[in-house]
Amino acid sequence: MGDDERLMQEHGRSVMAAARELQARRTLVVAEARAERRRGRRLRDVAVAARDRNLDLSWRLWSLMALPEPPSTIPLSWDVPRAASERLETAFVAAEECAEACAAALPGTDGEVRRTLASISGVAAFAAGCGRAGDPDSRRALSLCVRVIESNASLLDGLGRTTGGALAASSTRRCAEECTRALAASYLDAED
Amino acid sequence: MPEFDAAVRSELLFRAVNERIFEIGASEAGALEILCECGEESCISTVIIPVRDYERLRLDSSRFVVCEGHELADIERVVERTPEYLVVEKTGKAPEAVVHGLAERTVP
Repeated sequence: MGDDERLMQEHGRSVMAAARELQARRTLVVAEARAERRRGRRLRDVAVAARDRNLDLSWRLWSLMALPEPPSTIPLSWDVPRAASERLETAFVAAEECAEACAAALPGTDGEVRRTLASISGVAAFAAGCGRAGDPDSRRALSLCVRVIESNASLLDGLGRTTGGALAASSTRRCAEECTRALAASYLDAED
Repeated sequence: MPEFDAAVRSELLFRAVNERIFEIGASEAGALEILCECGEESCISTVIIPVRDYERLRLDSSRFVVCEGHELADIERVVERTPEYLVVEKTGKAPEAVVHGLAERTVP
């Protein structure tokens, strides 16, 4: 092997070593950049949450008439505080719609699906009836409605994937959601 | 065990709900999935019962359909036993409380 060839090989090895070193540094820089981006996203989330909280508190203060002017921005997550009676009314309407949707889905079904739909429809119709009549068992009826719907969750999931059952399944979920909100509001109302 | 008044109140609530289920789901040869009519307010057990059997049972206001083990020996006795459910009949002062409770209900 001549001197030129040896020099070329040494040069090649040094270039390879430099490339490896640069690759290692690149990996470090990329990892640091990713960590910075993650930190940036966390800080942005904290900032957004703080802004929303600030706005939420400002709106609450305004609704309590502690601020002369309403805040200029409405946070996306802000929900106007509603009275328990209003929540109850919404829940009774949702129960009525649920009863109707489940009853409408009965034709064309049989077996377990038919029995379950009739059962949920009956419970929801009863809850809606209690609401209309101002029955003292109204809250019990709403609670029962939620429990019966939740106990049939897996069947309703299956029903929700069918053409004829999607509306009924959807209305049961909405009903359970509204009933739960109404009950939560009524507990807090009773505490006040 | 629930107190007497609370038990009767729960039973009547379940009975009233089942009446609605019957109105909505009854068909000639089918079966219904009704709620257990026991005295435990938190119960959400269900009973599958042929429509014909439920029609017969509901004629007597002192009889209730409950799951096995949900009967309350102090205020009712088992008058019918099937693999799916029990039929209990109110005893002592319970039938009177049931009639009173039914009369008080604002939602039929």
